[in-house]
This record gives sequence, C-alpha cells and structure tokens, in this order.
Amino acid sequence: MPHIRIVEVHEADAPLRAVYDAVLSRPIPAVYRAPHGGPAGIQRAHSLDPELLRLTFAATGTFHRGEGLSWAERELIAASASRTNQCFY
Amino acid sequence: MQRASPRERALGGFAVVMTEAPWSIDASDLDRLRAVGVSEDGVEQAICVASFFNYYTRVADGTGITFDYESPLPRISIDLTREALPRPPRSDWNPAVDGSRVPVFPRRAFAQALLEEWHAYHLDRDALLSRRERRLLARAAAAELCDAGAVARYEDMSPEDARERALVAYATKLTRTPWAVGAADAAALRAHGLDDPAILAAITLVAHQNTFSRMHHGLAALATAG
Repeated sequence: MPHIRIVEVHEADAPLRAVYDAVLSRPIPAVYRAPHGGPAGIQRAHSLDPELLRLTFAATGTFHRGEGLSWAERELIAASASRTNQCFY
Repeated sequence: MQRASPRERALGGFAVVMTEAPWSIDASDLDRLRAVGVSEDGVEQAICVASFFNYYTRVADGTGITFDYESPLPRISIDLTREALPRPPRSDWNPAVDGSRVPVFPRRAFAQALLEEWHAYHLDRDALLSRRERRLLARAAAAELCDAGAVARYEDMSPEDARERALVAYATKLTRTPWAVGAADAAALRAHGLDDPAILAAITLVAHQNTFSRMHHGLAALATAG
C-alpha cells in the first residue's frame, strides 16, 4: 500500500492522462515496460504532480543518451545503486 | 554463472561508492574506470546513472509504490536496521562540491536545459511547500551528503518550528537510510499539515538533492587531474 495517494490511469484527469500517454509513448527497452501495460509505478508515484512527472522523466531519462556505456552497463550501475540502497527498483 | 568482467566490476563498484559514500569519490575512482576502458563520455554517463538511481530509489521508498516490473532477479531481503555509513567531519568536505547549482557535464550539453528546468521546479517556487521549506529540505539532504557548497548556500536555514523540524528529520532519514522510510514517516509529515501533494514535493526534492549532490561529487573528481 503506497504511503501517499497514487492516481491510476483510469482516474487521471486530462493533464495527468496526457503526461501518462507521453511517458508511455517514449521509445524504451521492453524490460522497462510494466507487464500491466500502463505507466510504471515509479512514474505513477509522481501522479499528484503531472508537471513534476513530466520534468523528472525528461531530465532523468537523459541517462540513456551517450555512447560511453552500453545498455547492459547502465543497467549494471542502476542495479548496483539500487541494491546498495536496498531497493528493488 | 559467468564472472563479471573487470570493466563490469569497476562500474558496479563505482555505483556502490557513489551511492553509499559519494563524498569519498575522487580522481582515483574515475581512473579505475578509465583503466578498464571506460571513455570520458562513459565516465560522465556512469556518474549520471548512479546519481539518478539515487533519485528513483528514494522516490520509490518515500512514496511506497510497489515494484511492478518483471525481473529475473531474486527479491532482496531488506535490513531495516542497517545504519548509514558515518560521515566525515565538515572540515574534510571538498569545498569544490556545490549541489545547490545545476551540474554541468562537459559531454552532456543535451541534458543541461532539462536539468535546469527540473532544479527550478524543485527550488524556485512556493506551491505546496514554501521556498524556505524547500531550502530547508535541500540543505538537510546536502548536509548528509557532505555537500559543502549547498550547505553554505543555505547556511542560514535552521528549522524554527515543529513543522520545519519534521521536514528536516524526514530529509535526513530519506537521505541516510531510504530503505527505512515508511508509512509512519509520511504520517509524521501529515501530522504537521502536509497533504499528499506536499509530501510528494518533499520526497522528490530530497531525492533530487541526492542526485545533484552526487553529480557534483563526481564532477569535482572529474575536474581533478588523475
């Protein structure tokens, strides 16, 4: 059970729905697609502030860009950071 | 199972240090990456990935959302009692680190405007949380990350009432031991008048500072000749 309210897709008003649709339309690796087909939990965690959601994933998504590391290496860094923080995300 | 390559071990090790003790990052950590063939672009990208995942994990823990991806990895067993690493005394902090400023990566100019917009949204407004409260949260997080510049910038920010003390306590806990943050911590903020949108603002601002302070530790090391 989340600690704050999460606005699910079916409850979303127009501004939030537009941001949800935008994040879902981004080209991302298949493993980043949640099995339920909707926005991932980490995205829905920001649902109470659609503008924050938009800005956050625009900024943080830039880590995919660049030629220095392979996708697998980026995942390794991500997994290592998350594991160190004892977080499965 | 295949053993990790030297390059993979170096990248994984870098991520651990950036997460657990970013204040200890120096040129030698970056040289270890270079020694296994990581390019300068890769070094900057490694700093960014490690830093951003210190955002995502704190938002996940702060909001309590459930993991909804498919993963072949086994579920981890979380030790809620695990302590954070001790911090060095302030006299040992690197004065070149200033997480109050938007980080500038020499090879990642494409991200600059987005980082600036993201930073401004967290720090430069009064909606949900006042500017003062936002700076209190940022300073509390920066202090736990040995971010000399950000702490100096917000030096006059000491909590003046119970609500502000609760915000500072929350920022400290989410920075030091995010795995231990739970529903009770959100409830503590709610008890001081924060509604859920304000709690989200607090969570994400602290997580944002955790990203920026780490980026600056990495950039300070990058600026040092290795």
